Amino acid sequence: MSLTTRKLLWGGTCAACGLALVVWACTRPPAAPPPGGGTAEPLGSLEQVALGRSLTPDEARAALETYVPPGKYDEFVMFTSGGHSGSVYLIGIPSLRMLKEIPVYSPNPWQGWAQGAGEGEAILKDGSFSRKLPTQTWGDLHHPQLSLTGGDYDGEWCFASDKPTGRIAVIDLRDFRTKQIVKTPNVVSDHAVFLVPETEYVVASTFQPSPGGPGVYAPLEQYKERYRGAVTFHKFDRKAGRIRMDQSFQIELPPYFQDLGISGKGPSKDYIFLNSLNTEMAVGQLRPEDPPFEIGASLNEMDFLHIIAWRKAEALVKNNSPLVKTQGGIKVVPLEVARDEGILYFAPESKSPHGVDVTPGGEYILTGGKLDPHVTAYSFAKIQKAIAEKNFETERKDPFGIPVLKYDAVREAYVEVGLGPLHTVFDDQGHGYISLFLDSAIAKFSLGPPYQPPEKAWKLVEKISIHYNIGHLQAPASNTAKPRGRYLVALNKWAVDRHPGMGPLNPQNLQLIDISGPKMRMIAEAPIIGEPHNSMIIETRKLAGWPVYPPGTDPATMTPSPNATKQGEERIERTKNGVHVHMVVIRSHYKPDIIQVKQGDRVVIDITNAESARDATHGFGLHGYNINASIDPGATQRVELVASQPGVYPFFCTEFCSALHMEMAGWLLVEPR
Amino acid sequence: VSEEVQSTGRWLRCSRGGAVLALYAAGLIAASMLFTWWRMECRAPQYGHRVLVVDISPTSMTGDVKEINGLGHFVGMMPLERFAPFERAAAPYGLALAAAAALLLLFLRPGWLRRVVVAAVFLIPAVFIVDLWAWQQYAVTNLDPKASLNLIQNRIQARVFGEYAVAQFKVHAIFGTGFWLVAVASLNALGFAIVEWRKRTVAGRAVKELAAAAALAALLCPASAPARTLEVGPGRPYRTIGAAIAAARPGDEVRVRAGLYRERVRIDRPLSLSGEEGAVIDGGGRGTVIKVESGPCAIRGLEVRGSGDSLFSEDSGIKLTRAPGCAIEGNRLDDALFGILANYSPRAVVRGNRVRGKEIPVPRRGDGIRIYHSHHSIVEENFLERGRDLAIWQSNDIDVRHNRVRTSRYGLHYMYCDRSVFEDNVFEDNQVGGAIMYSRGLTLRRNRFLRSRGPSALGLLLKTGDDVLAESNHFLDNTTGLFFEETPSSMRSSCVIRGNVIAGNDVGISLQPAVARVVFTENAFVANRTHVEVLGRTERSKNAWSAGGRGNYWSDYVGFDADGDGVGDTPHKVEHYFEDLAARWPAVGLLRMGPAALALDLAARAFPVVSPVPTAVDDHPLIGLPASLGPAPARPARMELALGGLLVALASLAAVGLARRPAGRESA
Repeated sequence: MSLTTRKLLWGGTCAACGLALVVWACTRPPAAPPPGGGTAEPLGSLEQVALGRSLTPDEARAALETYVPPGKYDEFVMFTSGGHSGSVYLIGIPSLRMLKEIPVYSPNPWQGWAQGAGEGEAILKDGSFSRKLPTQTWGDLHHPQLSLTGGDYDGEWCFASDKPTGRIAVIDLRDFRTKQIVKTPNVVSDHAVFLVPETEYVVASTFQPSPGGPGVYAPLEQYKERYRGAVTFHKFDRKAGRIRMDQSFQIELPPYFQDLGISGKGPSKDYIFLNSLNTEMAVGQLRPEDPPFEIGASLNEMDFLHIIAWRKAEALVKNNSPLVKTQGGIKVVPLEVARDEGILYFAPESKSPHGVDVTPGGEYILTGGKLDPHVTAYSFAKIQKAIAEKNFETERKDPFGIPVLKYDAVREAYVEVGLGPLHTVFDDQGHGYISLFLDSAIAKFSLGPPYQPPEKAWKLVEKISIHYNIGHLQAPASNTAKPRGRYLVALNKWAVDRHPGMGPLNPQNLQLIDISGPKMRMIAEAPIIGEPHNSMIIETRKLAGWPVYPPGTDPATMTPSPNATKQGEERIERTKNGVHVHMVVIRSHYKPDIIQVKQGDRVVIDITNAESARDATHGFGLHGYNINASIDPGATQRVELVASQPGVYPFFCTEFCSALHMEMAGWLLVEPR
Repeated sequence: VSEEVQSTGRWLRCSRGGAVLALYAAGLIAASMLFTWWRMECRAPQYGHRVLVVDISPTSMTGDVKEINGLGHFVGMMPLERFAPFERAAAPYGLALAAAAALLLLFLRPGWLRRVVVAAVFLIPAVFIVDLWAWQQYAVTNLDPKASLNLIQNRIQARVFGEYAVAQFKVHAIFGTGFWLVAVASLNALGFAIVEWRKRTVAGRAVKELAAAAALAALLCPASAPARTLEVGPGRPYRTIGAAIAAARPGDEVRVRAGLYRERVRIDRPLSLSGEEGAVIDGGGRGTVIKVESGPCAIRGLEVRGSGDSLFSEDSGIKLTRAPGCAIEGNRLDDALFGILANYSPRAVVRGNRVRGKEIPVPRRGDGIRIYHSHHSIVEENFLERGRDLAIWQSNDIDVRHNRVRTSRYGLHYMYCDRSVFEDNVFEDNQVGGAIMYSRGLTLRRNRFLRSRGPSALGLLLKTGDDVLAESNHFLDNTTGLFFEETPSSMRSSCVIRGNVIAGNDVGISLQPAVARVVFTENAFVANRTHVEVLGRTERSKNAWSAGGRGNYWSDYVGFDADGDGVGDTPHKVEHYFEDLAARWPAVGLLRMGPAALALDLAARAFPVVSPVPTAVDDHPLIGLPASLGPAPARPARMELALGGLLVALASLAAVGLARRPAGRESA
């Protein structure tokens, strides 16, 4: 080293030390707090709080952005699926606090849902896979969907699918309770559920194909001939709040796994789009030389985006066309009819894709490649043109003769986003955000015209790391015609190190990302129970749940219950084979509070909560007979049992109600015969 | 007969040459008992430099027996002590007997007993090999199915000599000095037989016996019709390749003479298709040019071009479907959407091909080479350009060596494969150098990941990988050098990143916060804008930034090495003070990348006042570039073997010299 360099180095180091001292002086805490303490804390103390909790400036800022102080509400509410917990969870955004659980496919003692009382048992029974099998008390709840009016959330209804059995649930957002579970006929599983823009139909596509509905058998050797997929349009009668199977219809599809789906909007509103995988029609290791299923199902470079002109099918059904058959209690448009009538078209899409999403204006259909690092945009205009011009692929054909639109003719663009792209959501600034499962990241990219000028179109903007293995992601009102932007929620499959060690089973992990600025920023994280498959985020102000039921309401019908009891009319009536109790609950007693029966009596207890105060819910917990009812203010619920075993069975209020809550108790006395 | 006996003494019953050979053999057999006969060396990523060794000699079994037994227990292997109990007990006596018998040859009259002794000595090495092989096979076929790592699905391909894999272990088996000594003794026995027979001038007999043996061997060989060669070309029996293939029998060779063949070829029977220089097959821009639907086939020396351009129908240059055991060698593929596709075609050898894709945007391209569910394949010495990926999916035990992939999407797209070796490959100017996902038991050595540049570009992505050893690789000038996500995945696994050069990248190593149990040692981190970044906070993860007191070389380490042991006296903390300051006072960001920022970083390390959270702490930073940046000499010294060999060679020379000395001079 030459002398000059050494001098320079020394000089530089000294200068740097000086600078470091300056920095130190700047960041040093004040020597002592002012004696007595001022009325208003100086701003500097906020920094002290941050330093005391070892928060970086970014973290301190994120804390301020996500904190919802006592008495204030979150700006948005996220309806998220609880996976095989069978429930929908409501999460506040940006606080990520859990607000409520809505039990759907599984019993929930807290809400008295299918716990020996109320409407829940009957709904689960009616909506079971098959009447010939036990009542199904679990489901794998995927994809909650909020009802749409004029292409935007109206805050009235929520729908959710059950993937393994092919069921749809209807949740009323007046009382946030499940009202109906419907088993889709002719199929044994589904995956996605989505709505057409005015919520006329709740649409579900099959996942694993089958030779028919529950109880129909065909060997796997006849997979190509006998097995079929389907997409089902469940007619939703908004006034009644029920799905009407007699006005619903189904379109038969080839035995591919029709995975996720989405409805068009605007120009494409009369179309739906489904992804598919396993166009190889692999069935697993039927013969010893067959590869395992996932290998057989991933061989082809490209699978089929299904393009379905469903209004044409609806017209056939409404006109009672002889081409439409009735099967399993639903009108079915057969595969050949769908092909010949121009209802079903395919477009090639990158192998085994997962998400399919439509831009807010309905111009583009985006698919995530999953095993391909691109998001591919299809233009609806180009699709229509290719259909009109019969511009089809010729080198490889679909074995069922469905026309395959030429890939280059319908593709608008592709954006390289990273590994494992799945689902796209949208903000209000002309961007798409796609989850990257393999990268554990989210990529932000620009959309094409009219969302962005051509020179800025279809470009990767930036990426942010996610912890870990992100599945779905969601943004406020993303699937409406008017996304709101502001936040992204990453619904991550794995938590790994995110939360303290609590045994081998970890909760899943939610992460909140601010997208209002030019850079995405991770600002909060929270565990969630049950795998969140998808969610919908709605403005809190759009939700108008009833604070209490009108007096004597049956929650099953949301109308006055014939079983309601007015105060003063409480009584026990002897019936042919037991007793009928007309009970009223109010803080803090049951009336009547003693029910005396004989062994073997059939006991019917209609309980009316006479309260009209918010939050004055009463419980009816009866051990031994495995019953807990939850009677919300104004509601009437029925408890039924056969007093098969003699003994003394105290019942008590399971929901804390007043100062004399502990005293709110009664007796069921079963006298031996 | 009496003449000969007289010429070599009264008590000696064989010739002088024979006597030397017999004596020598006896000595060698006796000596062999003191040496190792067979050695097994086991190497696994988590043991670092350490090699587990077991030496087997006729009298003992020494070395890391306990460790090997412990590890073997996991895969359900029986303890080494239970191998060949009888043989090991009997070996010392047997060999002593053999040595004595060899001595006895001096005194035995020609006759059946002498032949038996000669045969016995001759067969010792063969018996040893057969017995060893039998026990090895017994051991790997009788694994305990209840073992925690059940390997029944992937049978261990044990070898008596050479390398094989047991889970993440690479086992290297070699013969020791003892074996080579008895091998020489065996040759001596052969020599004895020849010398004695020749001497008795019944040379004809030996020749006859040899001829008989040859005849027997020929009889035992499977009778097979000779393969025909079908020539294709102008003025040849076949004008088109298709016609020749239609006429070919399984096993025939279709030889394509120079010329342009505008046709699409389908091979539906096992045959060999080879082209001479200038043989070009042009698919005319439609579909796949060569489809192979039967194996084993060979395609060599052809120029293939003009596939279609439909991703949907996977238009390819050469496409194998359910064609096991094919060799695709020395072809030149141009203007092909996909280059070489092997679907469900195990034991494919794809070697020395040159593949160039179509001039279309990257997302529209096909893979240069794709190996799909084709186990035990070899991909070597290929050159891929302007393609999509070198894709290896759902295929185990793949060797990827000496390939060069450039201007493609993923240099290596590797998913759901176990036990592969990647050596000496170059991945340059791709969007991602290598993406390795959902796989275990991988070794990456001496590969170069260069200039992967772009918004989401990476040198090497490791996602859900277990038991990964990366050593002596270069990661240069990438947006991110190495990216770790969920690697290692198994709590029982670790990864070793050793002796790599990670230089000139924007980010050297990027870690998801949950990444733990990775050992970084003896790597050189030079002039990366950020050496190590962690993508978020964590309270739990722990990686090792040094092993055995040896850390890494950091080009910005500011410490001293007072004791001169090559290891810095103070730990090196990878932290970026300047970034922290800039976050607090955005105005400071104006100075970014300037000398002031570097000075601040330097000063902050020298005088830690406000410490940022370090992303890595190396307790034993290296002062100089690690000497081991070349391939690590992991194999233990073979001094013993070398000495033994030298001894044998010298003794052999001496013996030959003695034996060739004319008898007359000796007696004189």
